[in-house]
Amino acid sequence: MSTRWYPIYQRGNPQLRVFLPNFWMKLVRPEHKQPENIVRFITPTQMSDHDIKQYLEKIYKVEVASVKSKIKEGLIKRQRFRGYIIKEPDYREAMITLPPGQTFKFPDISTEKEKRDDDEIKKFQDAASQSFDKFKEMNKDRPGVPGWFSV
Amino acid sequence: MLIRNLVRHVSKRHASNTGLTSTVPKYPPILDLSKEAKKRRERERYRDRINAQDTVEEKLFFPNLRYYYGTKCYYLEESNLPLDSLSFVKYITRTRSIEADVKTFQQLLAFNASEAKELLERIRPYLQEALLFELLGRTKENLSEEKAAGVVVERINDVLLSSLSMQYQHLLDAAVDYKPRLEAFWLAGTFHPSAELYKERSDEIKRLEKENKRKEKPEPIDIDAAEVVEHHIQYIGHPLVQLRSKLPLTQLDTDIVGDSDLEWDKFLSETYYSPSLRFGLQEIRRFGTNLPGFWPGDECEHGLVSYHYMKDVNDVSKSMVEGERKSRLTSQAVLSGFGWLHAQAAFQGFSSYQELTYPLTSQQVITDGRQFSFNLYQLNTMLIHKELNSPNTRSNICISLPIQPLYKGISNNQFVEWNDDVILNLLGFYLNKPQTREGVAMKPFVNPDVKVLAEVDDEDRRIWLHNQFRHMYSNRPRHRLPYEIYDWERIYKIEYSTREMDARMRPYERGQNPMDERRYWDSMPPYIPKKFRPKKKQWNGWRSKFGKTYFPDP
Repeated sequence: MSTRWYPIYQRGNPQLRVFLPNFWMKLVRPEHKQPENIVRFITPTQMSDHDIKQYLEKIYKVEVASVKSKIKEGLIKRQRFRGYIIKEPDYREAMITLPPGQTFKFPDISTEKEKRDDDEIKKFQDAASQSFDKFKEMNKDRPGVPGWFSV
Repeated sequence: MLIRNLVRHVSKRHASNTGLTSTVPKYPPILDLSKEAKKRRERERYRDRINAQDTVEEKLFFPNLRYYYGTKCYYLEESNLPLDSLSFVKYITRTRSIEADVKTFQQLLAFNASEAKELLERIRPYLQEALLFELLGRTKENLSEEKAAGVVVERINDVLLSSLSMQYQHLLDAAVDYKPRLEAFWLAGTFHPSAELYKERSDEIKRLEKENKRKEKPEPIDIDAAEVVEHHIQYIGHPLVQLRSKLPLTQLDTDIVGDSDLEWDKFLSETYYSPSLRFGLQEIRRFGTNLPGFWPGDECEHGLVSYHYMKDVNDVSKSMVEGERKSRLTSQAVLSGFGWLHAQAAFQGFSSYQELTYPLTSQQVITDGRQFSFNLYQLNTMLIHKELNSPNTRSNICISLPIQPLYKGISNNQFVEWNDDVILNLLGFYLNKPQTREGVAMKPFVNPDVKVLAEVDDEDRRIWLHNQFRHMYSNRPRHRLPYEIYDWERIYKIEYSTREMDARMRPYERGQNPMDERRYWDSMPPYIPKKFRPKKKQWNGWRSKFGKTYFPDP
């Protein structure tokens, strides 16, 4: 992102060109039963619907049928120790409609990772229970003897 | 006391006698006590209550009494349909849309080609002259495109009516409306919950689970976050001209066109996306209105032809224009056909809850003054909501012709490439003669003695109901601003309880929700000044200071 202000349009040539826009767009997880041709973004509040459309079409070459965006209230929470109410900044949520026939599926990254993590934890648990079984097998003739006591 | 004892004694004896004498015991019916079945029974009772209303106006008045601030609904306007909305429109109207060729179309209309050609030869010079005058002889500087198309349509209608009505009685009797109010309100189908509703339900589940953890014996949670919902739809149409007749048009022989809509089966099995997620539509509160362009009690209460404006598509990128134009045109035809017939059916005493007992038909012309699209619509069903005892196997049907231009251009005061087919199709619509439905009760759910409000005997009640009905249908906002929870209250009192010591005076602190719980009649009746009240010696209670109201039993 450039550190420049977003340039206000001036008539006449040469036009000021923007190579690195100040804006960003964050692709977010779809809502419950969101249609496949709708994509949800979070953007800065300053961005207009035209900006959003231009951003996607000019930078990412994504065809956009329509843009509907609205400003949403940031998360409100309580300060942990002193108990006063604090609020995160507002953001703009943009719903992009793709042209008829085009669809987008949100990549399923995190659930895969969760699954991987779960598998690893299970592996550890299995190993632990196996070693415990082994220990019980070893000590079945000497009940009540602590684990550290060995010949 | 004596009388009460006597009554008790008699009733006891009566009861014991019947118990002894009857051989077959009478048990109450065994009812399904599941949540869904209860909802369906509730819906049936509601339908019966609407059917029990005498007049058409009361039937239209009754459903709006549920909410003081109006019913939540999605607002669809003919001129402002959302992008790529055909599938949605077909879903909410339960319509199959079929594109037919001219031959099938004429077959459906029972079109007499030789008669029409003869008429065409007679009418054409007048029509061309009138249109040339409209198009060339008037300045159109101050006219919007829609108004310019409206003028052309009015002229075409004038010429056709004036030249045909001497010959055809049904056209002589027809009523013509210019820019009438076309409004329809209905309850539609199964939708996935909106993002807000889904979040609300999930939060509630989380809260209950948290509560359950504290309890010794946890209670089962009976909330499904993904449960499907129904939505009220309010459609507002903008017809340019419409013709009405005393009798309904004949039923279409839809077997000719067959089941050519491929998407149809897919539709029936599917639940549609939430309109707020799919189109960004917002629900508004409004009193639902069903108006086919006239008030109840009008003699001509069946639609013949209506003309609508074909708005050019200019708000999408070039690659999408063709598809969007087609989709928007079909959506417009489907919605205008359904909306008009739904409102007409409502005037016959049917509603979103009471199924039609006979089909209704209408004819739509969608035009920008040069291009013409012809559509036939047949309303077979009005039950589109989800609380049904048995699945609805009926569907509505919309049959359209491809767009035809009336002429290509004008040069030297002459039309270039004048297309007679358009006029023939128009004639087909005008000559389609409405007929009496033999052996069909047209208004089975309206009291035959008191069909409309004007026939009510009690003068005070009649005037009161008339004023209230018209006021409700004007959809003026309530006198005071609606109840709202302010942001500071939501943050500091509801989400985080930081003001424990404040008096709990507001409705949300008392477990009330005025937007959903307050009924239409929940306000003071009008005050009557003392000089207009009948003179009475004794105190008759404070209620006697207020006017009488005649709301139907709640």
